[in-house]
Amino acid sequence: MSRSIIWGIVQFVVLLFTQVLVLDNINFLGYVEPMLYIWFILLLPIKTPKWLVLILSFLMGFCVDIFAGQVGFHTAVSTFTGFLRPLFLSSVNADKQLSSFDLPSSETMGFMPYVAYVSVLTFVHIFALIMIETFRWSEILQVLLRAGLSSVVTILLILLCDTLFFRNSKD
Amino acid sequence: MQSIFTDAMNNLIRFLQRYYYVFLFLILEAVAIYFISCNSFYQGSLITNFANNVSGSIYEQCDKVARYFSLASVNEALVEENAKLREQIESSYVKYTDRVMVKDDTIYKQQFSFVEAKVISKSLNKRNNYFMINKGHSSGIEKDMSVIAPNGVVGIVTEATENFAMVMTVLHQDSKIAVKNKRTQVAGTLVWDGDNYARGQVIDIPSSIPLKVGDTIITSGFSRNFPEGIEVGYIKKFSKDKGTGFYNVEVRFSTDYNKLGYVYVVKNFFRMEQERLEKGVKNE
Repeated sequence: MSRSIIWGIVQFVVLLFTQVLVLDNINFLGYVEPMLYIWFILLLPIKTPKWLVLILSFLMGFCVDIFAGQVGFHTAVSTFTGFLRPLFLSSVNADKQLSSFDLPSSETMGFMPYVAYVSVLTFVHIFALIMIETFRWSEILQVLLRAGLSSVVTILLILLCDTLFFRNSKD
Repeated sequence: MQSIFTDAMNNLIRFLQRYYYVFLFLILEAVAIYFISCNSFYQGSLITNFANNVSGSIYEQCDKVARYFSLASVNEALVEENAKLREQIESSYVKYTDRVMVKDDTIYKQQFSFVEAKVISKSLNKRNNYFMINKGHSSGIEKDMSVIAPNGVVGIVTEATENFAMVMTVLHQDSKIAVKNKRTQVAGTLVWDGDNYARGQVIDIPSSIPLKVGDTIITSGFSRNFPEGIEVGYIKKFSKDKGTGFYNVEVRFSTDYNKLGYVYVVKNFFRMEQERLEKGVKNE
């Protein structure tokens, strides 16, 4: 148990600093904001209590916000993503065979459901974020373009990191 | 009688057990929305101050490493600016006449002074972009001061802490800077549509006055924080908007914000006086 807590803290810190010190400085095509920190929320063990998911998402969002120039946007959206997460995991969570350490992955969920879980939550997160930052209906097309491109890059990054860090260790 | 109360209590507890998660969500969202409102309603609030101080000191540490990689281009820009300034000093002018002119110092009064600062973090890929600079209250930097680059405008200070300040760049949906065409002196407003960080838009130029591609756009001095005549960019293309009678002008910024390392914060010594005057006029 304590090992998974330490692992969680390491993940939190690494993802946070990768986000604010590396990814936020990448200026790619002018529209793309990769948000790898969402992976932290997506990757919490399936059996994590709902309240803990909410509080951890809130904390992650707040830490990203500290570096963002305007406080609150990432916090609000991360909490929302943490709130939506159990909706996608409830069918998997009912499976009694899972131990309390099992992470959402293509092994535990199946490949397509896992990709759908990552894609939908990432897109909702990024779209909601850009929408409340812009807060103008007149720019909805640009918001969709930004959210679409950023989501595609973020989803690819998450799936890539997933293969790099988890597949290899299991072989 | 008592059983009714215990039943009610039990139901309440069951209700809370089932939906505590929704309540917690609502509470956390309320906190987040309060944070967001701090950005616009409570200047210098504890939470934004805390955020700027923490991120400022971390960004400064990282910048110490990162700045070595951009030394070459920063040097180049500084040398270029040095050359420009050298052109302006007295010794580079040849005296054409021996007539001595007495300059009465009391007829000139300094209105603007410049504080140099380093950009320690920036974003360009968002709809609303902010830069953080490494000077704050301790160097005399206050909210609403303007920030310029060696050859262009950068933005306006929105928040200052003891050692850092946050700059709302021209690459922001709320940024509106009074500009004019250097050739015709016709005024307009500089905005940014969020599309490309190298290009901005000028609105409010009436389409009855002819424009040319390549015209220089400079600040007009009408927005009290920017001195007059700071270069903004060049007209890249323009079209007439038939509905409004104004031009849609696209401007290529003269500064490459991607490479920007050092900026100047502009202090306006007459600012208080101007503000007092404006306030007086509005009250009447």
